[in-house]
Amino acid sequence: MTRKDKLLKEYMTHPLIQDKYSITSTQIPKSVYEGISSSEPIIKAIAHIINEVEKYPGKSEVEVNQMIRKLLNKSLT
Amino acid sequence: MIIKSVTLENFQCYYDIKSFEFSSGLNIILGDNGEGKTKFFEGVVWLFNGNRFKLDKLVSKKKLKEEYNNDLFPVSVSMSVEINNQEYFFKKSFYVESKENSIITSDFKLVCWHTNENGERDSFEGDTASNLLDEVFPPEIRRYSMFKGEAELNIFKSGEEALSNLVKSFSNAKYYDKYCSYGNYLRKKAEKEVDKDVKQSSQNKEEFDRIQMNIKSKKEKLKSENKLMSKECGNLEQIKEDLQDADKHFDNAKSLKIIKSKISKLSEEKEAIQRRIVTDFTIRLFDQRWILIHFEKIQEEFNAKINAFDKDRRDEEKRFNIEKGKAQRSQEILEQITPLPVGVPSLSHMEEMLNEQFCKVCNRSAEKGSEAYQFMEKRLHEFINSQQPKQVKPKEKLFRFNYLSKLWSISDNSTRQLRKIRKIEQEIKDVFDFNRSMKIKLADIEDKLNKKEREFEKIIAKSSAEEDLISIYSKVKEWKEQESRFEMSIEDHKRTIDSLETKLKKLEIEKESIDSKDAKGFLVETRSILRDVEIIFNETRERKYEEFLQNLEQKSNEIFSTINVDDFTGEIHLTKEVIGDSEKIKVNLLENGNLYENPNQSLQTTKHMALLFAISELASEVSFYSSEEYPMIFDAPTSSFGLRKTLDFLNLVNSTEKQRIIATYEFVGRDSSGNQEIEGEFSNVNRSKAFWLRREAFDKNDLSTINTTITTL
Amino acid sequence: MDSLFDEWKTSIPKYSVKFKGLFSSLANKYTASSEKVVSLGKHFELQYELYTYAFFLGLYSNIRIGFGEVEKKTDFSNPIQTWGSKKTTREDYTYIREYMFMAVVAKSDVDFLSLDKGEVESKVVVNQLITVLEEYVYGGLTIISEKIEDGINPFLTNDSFLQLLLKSGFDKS
Repeated sequence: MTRKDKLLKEYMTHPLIQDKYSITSTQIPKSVYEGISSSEPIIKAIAHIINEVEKYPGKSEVEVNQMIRKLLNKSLT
Repeated sequence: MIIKSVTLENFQCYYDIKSFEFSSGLNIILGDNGEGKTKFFEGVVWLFNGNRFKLDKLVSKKKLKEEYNNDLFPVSVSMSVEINNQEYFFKKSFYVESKENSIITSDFKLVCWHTNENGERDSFEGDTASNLLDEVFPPEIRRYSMFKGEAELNIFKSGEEALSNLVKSFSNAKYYDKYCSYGNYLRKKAEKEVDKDVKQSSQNKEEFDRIQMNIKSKKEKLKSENKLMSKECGNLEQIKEDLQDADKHFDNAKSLKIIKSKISKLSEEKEAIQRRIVTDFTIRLFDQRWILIHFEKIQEEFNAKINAFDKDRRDEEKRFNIEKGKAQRSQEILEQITPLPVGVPSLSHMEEMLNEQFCKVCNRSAEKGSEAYQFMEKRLHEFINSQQPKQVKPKEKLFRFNYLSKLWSISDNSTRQLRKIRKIEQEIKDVFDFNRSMKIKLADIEDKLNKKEREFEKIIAKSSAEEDLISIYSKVKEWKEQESRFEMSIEDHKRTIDSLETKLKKLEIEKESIDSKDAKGFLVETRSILRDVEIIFNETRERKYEEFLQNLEQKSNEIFSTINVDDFTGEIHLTKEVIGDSEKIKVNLLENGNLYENPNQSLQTTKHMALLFAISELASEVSFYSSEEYPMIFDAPTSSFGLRKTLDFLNLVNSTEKQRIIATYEFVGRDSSGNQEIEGEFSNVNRSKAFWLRREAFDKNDLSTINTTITTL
Repeated sequence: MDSLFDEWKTSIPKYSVKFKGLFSSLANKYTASSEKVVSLGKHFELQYELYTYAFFLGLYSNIRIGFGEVEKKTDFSNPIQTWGSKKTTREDYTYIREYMFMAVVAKSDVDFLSLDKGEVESKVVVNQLITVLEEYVYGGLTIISEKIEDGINPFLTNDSFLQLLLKSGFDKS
């Protein structure tokens, strides 16, 4: 498991994921690769952020924001 | 990684080339204070961190003197290290010229020789060598592996060590930090979008603006309040620590005071006894008559002589008198015959006859000058003489002088003094007995005095110098005042912050109710998701940090329970604390779940050591070379322990089997002639290697005689 | 009053020049009346104290040595009658003169009868007694100097002289 996968795994253990978003353990992705194509917006968002930041460590916040907005626009509309 | 050897060349008290050959496991460097332990430590530090300035201060004075006006000579510190079956040798050196008025030093350079697993060698200089050194013994690990003195061990003293430093070096928690900032940014942006959208719709715009402004100003106020409060918390923390330190000093001062007064009382007693011991024996021979101790016999001889003299004298006198008496009587008999009675003829007749020059007895003329005339004259004189009282002739004496009389009185007087002379022997005996008992008392007091003095020195060694105590006394009052002021002010801030937060919450609820109505749905949802993302990022990071602390705490306690040489039954507890702008680790001792207050110095040291050893284990978990272990170097870390505890402690360290180089002054004592010796107890210390540092015979006034020698035990 | 003692104590007894070193090392030079005297670490505060001590040492040890024919003598210019008077730091020990006198009388062969008869001059008897004194002193000083010559400093402790004197009463040679 690479570091980004470990990161995602840790984030997925947060209670909000299960409690507020009612995501079951089967729905939790095992890797960032899986997470990117998740149907859950929050999982998708987190997976994308991790993917971007780990690939391009110097990525600016502005760019990450742009990416996320586009993403969520699509997912939520 | 282990250090195989350290060599010092003309470095401070190490004249010429002096080497330490280390092995894995526990290496102990013994040395009395000032013999070179700390200079060894400083040499190693210089090798790693070396300051370019004041190199002249590092040069051996003995070598300087020797090489005065001669050629250049080198000063260096080198270390050889084994890691991953490869050997690295580092040497940092510079050259010195010792001249008339100055010492000229060259700049230093660092060189590295590397031998790989196949035995092939290459060498590096300058920055490359420096980088290799940092690779072999990374600085972030070094900072937790080398300590000078007991006080330095407390790396978590407030204001000195940030949690982030540890995390950066030893934990994966560091990766979660940056996500928090992204999360924060994204959320803020999402909220701005919603606010923008709301503003565009004309409904409730004014109210929305108002609320937003309000929120903004409250948030700003909140921010500044928080800032102020955390600053004051930091200050309060510092003051509390200072007060705690002062307390420790006072305790020490109190003990010192008590011991000091005991010492002076004992010294007084000692002097009083010393004064009573009799020393003027020779004077007493005269002043107390002791010189007459054997005189009785002589006295008897003298008396006998005088007696004899007296007897002889009386005897002779008696004989003499008897003889004289006899002679006198015969003389007297002779003197009694006279031819005529004295009265015939009468005086006047005789005078008449003489004048007439005619004897009327014989009826013849008697001319002047004739026989008859002379006869008449004679008779006249006899007559006249017989009428005069007879003069007694002085009798002859045998003894003209009487020396005996004075001799007698001398004899008499001194005989009466004899009883005094007989007492002398006992007197002398009594004095010696008295002295003996005084000396026993003296020895006892001296013993007590020595013990107290050693106690005194031990406490002084633990705390700072006595003079500091006086300045601390004066500061404490000030600190106490500051402490209460800060506490009050912090309370105020808390209240303000609380009310601001309540108001803020209210406002935000109000705002939410508007924008969830007026803004586009997906924007609101986006915002909601990103809010949650931020929460997830932040809280996960928190959790990770907490995990790290727990891990560290658990490791520390494992080690603590094995090296704890006190009877302390509690454990170490770590918590994260925000002080000022940074997060710190607070270290406490708990016993049965309760905070253990005022642990003594040796317990504190054990606690610090446990933490440091735990960190060293973490280091091996995250190092570049996986599961690499690193040595630790301590200079006199257990001053407060005393001999027994140090022994136990060292044995426990030895059982961990990791390379630890520990310098200490314990076990170095002095024999009866004042020479240094290693105390027998040391043979009970299990170790891989031991070294003994000693300065050669050295003149305090001439620093150029300093030269430390290393003996491997 | 005819007093042999009074006449005797006006004398100044002598000692052999060869013992000068002993006096300078064991006794102080100045009289105790001189205020500047610190004990200088010497055993005897005054020169004639060493002399007196040597007398008693020789007396109790019964060692009496006469001067050689050409042996040079010296003295401290203080007659016996000045010895032992009270000083600020010391007691009066003038008694010592009488005891010394008694000892020399006891040990000498003075014909007292002749003295009292006037057949022999008191001056002569006094000289006789002084000679006895000097001979015992010689004996005592010899004992002391031989002890020092033996090598180890026998007079290290403050009771050495006392001990030496105590022992002398027990071995009679």
